[in-house]
Amino acid sequence: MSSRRDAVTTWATALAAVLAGAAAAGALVSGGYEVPAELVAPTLVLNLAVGWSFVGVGLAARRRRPGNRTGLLMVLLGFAWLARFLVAVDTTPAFVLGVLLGSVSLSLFVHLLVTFPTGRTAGPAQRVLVAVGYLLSAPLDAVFLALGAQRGRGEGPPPNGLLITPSSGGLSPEPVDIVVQAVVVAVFVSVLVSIWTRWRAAGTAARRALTPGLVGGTVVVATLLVERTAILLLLPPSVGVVFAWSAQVVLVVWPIALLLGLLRSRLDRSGVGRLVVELGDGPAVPARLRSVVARTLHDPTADIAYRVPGTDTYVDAAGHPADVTPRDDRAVTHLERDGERVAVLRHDPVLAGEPDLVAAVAAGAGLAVENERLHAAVREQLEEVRASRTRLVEAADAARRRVERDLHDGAQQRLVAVGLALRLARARLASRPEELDALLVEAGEELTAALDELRELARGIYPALLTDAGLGPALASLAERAPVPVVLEGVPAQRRSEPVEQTCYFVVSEAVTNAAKHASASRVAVSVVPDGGDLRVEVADDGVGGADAEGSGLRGLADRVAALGGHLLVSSPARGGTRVTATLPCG
Amino acid sequence: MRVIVADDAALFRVGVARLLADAGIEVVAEVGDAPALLGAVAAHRPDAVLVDIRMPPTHTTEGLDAARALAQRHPGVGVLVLSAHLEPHFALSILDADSGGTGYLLKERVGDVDELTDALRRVVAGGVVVDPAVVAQLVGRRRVCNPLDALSDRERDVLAEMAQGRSNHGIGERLYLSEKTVEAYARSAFTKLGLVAGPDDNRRVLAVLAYLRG
Repeated sequence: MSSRRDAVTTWATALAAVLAGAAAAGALVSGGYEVPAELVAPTLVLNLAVGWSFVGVGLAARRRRPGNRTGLLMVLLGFAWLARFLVAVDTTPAFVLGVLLGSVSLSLFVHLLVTFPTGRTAGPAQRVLVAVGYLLSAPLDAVFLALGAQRGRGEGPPPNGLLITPSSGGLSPEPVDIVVQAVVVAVFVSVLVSIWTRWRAAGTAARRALTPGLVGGTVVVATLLVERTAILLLLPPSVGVVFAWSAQVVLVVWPIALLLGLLRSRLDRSGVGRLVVELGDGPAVPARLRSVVARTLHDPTADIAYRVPGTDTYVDAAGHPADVTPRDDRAVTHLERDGERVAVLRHDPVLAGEPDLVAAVAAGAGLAVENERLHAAVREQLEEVRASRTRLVEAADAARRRVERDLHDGAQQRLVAVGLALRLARARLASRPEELDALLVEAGEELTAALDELRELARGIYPALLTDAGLGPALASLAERAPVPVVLEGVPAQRRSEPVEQTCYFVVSEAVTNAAKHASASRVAVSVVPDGGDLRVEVADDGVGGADAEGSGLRGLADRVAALGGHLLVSSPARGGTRVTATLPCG
Repeated sequence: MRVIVADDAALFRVGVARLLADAGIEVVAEVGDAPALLGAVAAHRPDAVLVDIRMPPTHTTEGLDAARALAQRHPGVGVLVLSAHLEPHFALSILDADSGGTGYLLKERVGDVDELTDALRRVVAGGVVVDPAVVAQLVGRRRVCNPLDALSDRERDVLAEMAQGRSNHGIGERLYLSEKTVEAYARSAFTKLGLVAGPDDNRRVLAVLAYLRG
């Protein structure tokens, strides 16, 4: 809505400027004065060009920088310039009004130049300069009008103030005129000094914004100075005429210089595309990022500080702590990704006047920073995955070795003994049949023991009950055969996916084994309960605590759990029992 | 006694058949999977079946499913499931109050022909058989406050025999006690544990097993 209202305002102002120009032309041609034919065209062309140029560029500036006063001042200056044509209407009220408004444009010019590029006065010196500028226009002109009437110059038709003609020679300036002109000159000189000091103090980025406008303004002021001092310098009137024309020509060009300055930020923004391309070209090492950003912003002091993830502290490219609070000489723009601050851009405060450029650069740099962060995160995850893959392979190998050893030391030895007993029995068959019975009993007992061991070994490798009946019965069975009392405080009634059930079972199994073997626990509580979309497995014992979460057993469990996208927490304070909690997503 | 043996391993079927024949038990059919077992039972009307828990096609718990199917379709046929798993869950999954004549034995028990024929006779008589190792696991379970600690050794022995599905008479024979003495130990154990004896032997077995599992 407001952008539409802005558009209407803009077009209405432009139309008013066109009408004001037409009225000015009408006033000049048929205002009642005789105008030398050869002066009509150049006078009209130059004055309309100055007026429309200021209004047009002012409107463009207002649209691009709604918060900036410069545009408004330029529009006002354009209208004030056109209002001077009132003096071309040969009636006393028009003449008086024309004279009063005649030099308001100059006051606005001073105002514009002193406060460029913000359009707002900063500091008492600027305010004084602007105020003196306004006092020298309408109020002073009013005084002169009154004086002129006193001096008896009001007789006859007043001179047409718009036409640049050599002043009638021989008229010696009165002291009051000289004083006024001297004040005017002093104001202009002050304006030049103000421009120079501001330009000197500005950083590179600020200079880029200031230069086109200030150079143009300086030329105008210089030209006006020479014109105004022509009387004091006693230059021939024809020279003053030349300078007066020059001042008008420069005034036509000046808004275009301002426009150039305004367009420059748009050109700068096209440099952001290059920034993104350049950053995409190679690894976004912080130092390179800094130099590319500084170049794109035309601010050699610009740099980037990175937020340490999970904290509110920032470090610079070298990793040193960085202060990111805004100061008078340094503005701060945050680079955000998904609403999270990832870095800050520290730059010349004048760039705050170019929010679009800074935002575009921040977005481009943010991409690079995010890219770098993602790379780092992926590298870190890859490291972790590599490590856990290695550990899983090692754990599988260790488990195989354990099974091999158990088979070799247990069932295999017993079967060898059975074979031996049977052979002995066969040998006794003929010679000592009375020993046969004992040998066969012995063989039978060995076989039973071997079968028991094989059954437990097989069950230890994988409990058939888990697949056939589910987690609940498998955990109940685990509790029944555990060497410590296990209390099942909660088991899920429904089946889960095989990997989830298996991981869940092995978490409980390993934790219960640890509790019995290392913790000297007298009670282990097991609960497996749904937690949102997850399954939470908790095994808590009342043992001695101090379990090593990095030991191979718990580490292996953590890997198993991580492989399903879950996480394992081990809390085991000394003499405080051990609590193993695994959260398994069951998507 | 006429029996059918169901196991996918032919060597095992032949061995068991020979063993049972030696003990005077006739094997009327040998089958390799559950559907063949159901067909053979319908055809031969045996007194009991010996069925392996793992059979084709999945080699998981086909024997248990077959036992349940038989209890429904042929309630008069005793079913003895032979299993490689020492899992009370599996044992209890085929026992309920009305399915007399059902048993769960570890497969290696076939090595002891007396034990095997005893179990077969009990299921044919409509009793319940639970492998001693399964009961031992339940009785030996570690508990925080173990109520079984309150029992005397004899009471505990009687309870374990009871859990295997034996009658007071059977327990007396096993433990060399008079039936009256067994009854006294049983009553005392039930009182200590707060158990109520059921109206028949099978319900008593289930009550004890449920108590031990709880």
